[in-house]
Amino acid sequence: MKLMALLLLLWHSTLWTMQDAAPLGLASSLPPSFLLKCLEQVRKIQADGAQLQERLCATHKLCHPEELVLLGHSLGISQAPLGSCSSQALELTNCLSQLHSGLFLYQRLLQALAGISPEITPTLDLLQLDVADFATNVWQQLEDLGVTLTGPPTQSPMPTFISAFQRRAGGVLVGSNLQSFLELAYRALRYLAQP
Amino acid sequence: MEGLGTWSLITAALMILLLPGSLEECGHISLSDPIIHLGGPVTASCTIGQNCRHLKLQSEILWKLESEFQPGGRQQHLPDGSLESTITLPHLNHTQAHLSCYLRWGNSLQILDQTELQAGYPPPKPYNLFCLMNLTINSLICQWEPGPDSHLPTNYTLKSFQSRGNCQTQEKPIPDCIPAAGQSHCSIPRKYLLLYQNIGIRVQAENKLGTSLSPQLCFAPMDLVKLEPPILKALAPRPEGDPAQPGCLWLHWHSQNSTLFIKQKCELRYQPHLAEVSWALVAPLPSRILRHELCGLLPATAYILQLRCIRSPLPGHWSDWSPSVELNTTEQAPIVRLDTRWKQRQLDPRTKDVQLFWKPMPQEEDSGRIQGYLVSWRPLGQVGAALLLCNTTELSCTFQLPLEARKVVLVAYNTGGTSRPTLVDFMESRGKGGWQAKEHCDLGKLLTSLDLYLLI
Repeated sequence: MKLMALLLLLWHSTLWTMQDAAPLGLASSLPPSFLLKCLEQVRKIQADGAQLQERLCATHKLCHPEELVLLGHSLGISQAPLGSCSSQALELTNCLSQLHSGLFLYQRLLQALAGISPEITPTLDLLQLDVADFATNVWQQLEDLGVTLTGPPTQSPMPTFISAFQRRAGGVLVGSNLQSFLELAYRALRYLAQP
Repeated sequence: MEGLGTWSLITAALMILLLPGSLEECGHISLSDPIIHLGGPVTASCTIGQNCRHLKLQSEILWKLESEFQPGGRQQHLPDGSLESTITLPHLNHTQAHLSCYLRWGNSLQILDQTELQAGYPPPKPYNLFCLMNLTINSLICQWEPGPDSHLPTNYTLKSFQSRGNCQTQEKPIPDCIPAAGQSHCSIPRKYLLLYQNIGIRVQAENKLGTSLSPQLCFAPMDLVKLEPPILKALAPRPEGDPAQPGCLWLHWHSQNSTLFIKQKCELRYQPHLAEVSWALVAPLPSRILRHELCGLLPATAYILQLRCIRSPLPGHWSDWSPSVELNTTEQAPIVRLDTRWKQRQLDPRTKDVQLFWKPMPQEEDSGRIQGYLVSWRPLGQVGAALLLCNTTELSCTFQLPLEARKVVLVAYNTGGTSRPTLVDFMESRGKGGWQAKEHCDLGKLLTSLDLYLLI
């Protein structure tokens, strides 16, 4: 298991080293503040997400997402891909489009968690607002870049939570998936922001 | 005369009883405008209807504004038989005034109706609209100056909309924000905002005479974020291994948790406590630092310090200054030379009694405060701590030593440390017993002032 993790880490670091030479196409056409704002938005959502996870752990004793993998499968809570931002052929518009699609997915997943519990709702609402803000920011930038967007990304069916526990467990899984997604996004954005 | 008065009262009472209603119903004032522009004209009509035909309708209708008769009423009979008087007041200069119409009736004047005139101005344009985003209460707070008093009840509404670019187009309206009565500020909750997209915002003032709008602001709420003041503290205890530097302070600070995600820069200001000097500024500084040594300050001085931060490089508002922290800089160890003299006497074959005198000679203009003096002796061949013979605030001390003891060490001290040690070597001028003054100067010369001092 440790070996697998080490290999994964090495693969990951190699990937990012290789990207140093990757062409970025339109990266220089972005307004200078756009990437700074995106990075700030990621940090904000990460802080919100961490708070959601802490509250779910403290209030409902759901502290380990790895214990909920099976449940996550049965509920159909998916992880948004971000391959276009971490592949060797990192291309700006594809990466931003995928980032937007992922954020849109998490926004809908967070909406599906509505009514999770009175203690968690304020944190969940704030997280949802911040994710929606970030998605809008990316969407508008794509439009400014002239990328033709026909409408919101394809809407996959949302999980149905039939108990309070499932909703809380869903909160843990969505929070955890979102954090992983944001980690990748942050690396990509920081890379794009390099002078 | 008295009889006439009594008759009038009785007649009046009978008339009132005979009237279909009260006197008030006889007359009615109507106004050209319910609210009047201050300084402008107003026209009022007082009509006495047919139901008051018991009154002599040939009587003159009179007007009073507050307690002043107003000439110029034009009286006429209307086709329906009622009597009307119309008056125009060309310049109403009261913001509120009572206008009454009267009828001369017998020897007295009878008030028929009264109305309250209200005058003012259309609302002036609100100005100085200023907004800031508060992430602690998660609201955009805007305030404005309402401008000169319009003298009329005025409602303010903060009107805003979601936009793109420079706010020339409206994408989505944001619900109006209505301040509490009498307030010139209003908060828009986070849920109505996109923090990183521009919004257009202005204040609308409205009263009975019109509506006005402030100039529009266009901004992304996050660009107006005002951070909570950072937390500034003294670093205590001082980092290990760092000697106390005179005129230095150790500090640490961090921003509030709710704004840790924002890249910030900070600035520190400080001034000596109770001193009439302006603040000194240190900038830019990072928003979080575990230890920062601020030097170049006056030693042994109380300083007031404050810190504030701002989002950077993205735009924002400066936070308020943090609560003041008062700290004392470290003292400088005394910079003195100690001129010494001593007397010694042999008490028995193994012990001698020594009386040591000294005088501090400052080596610099600011030589530091002297809190006391230490005299110590280390027996020959002994390692470890020296034996403390005296700890005194006086300029002399008496102690006993073994006869063979040669040297003691004298230092001045304060909280900043000790002065350079002065080695006092008794073998240089050993006496033969008794209280013989054996003069000695550690630098090899005597000072007249010291002699004088010892004589005293």
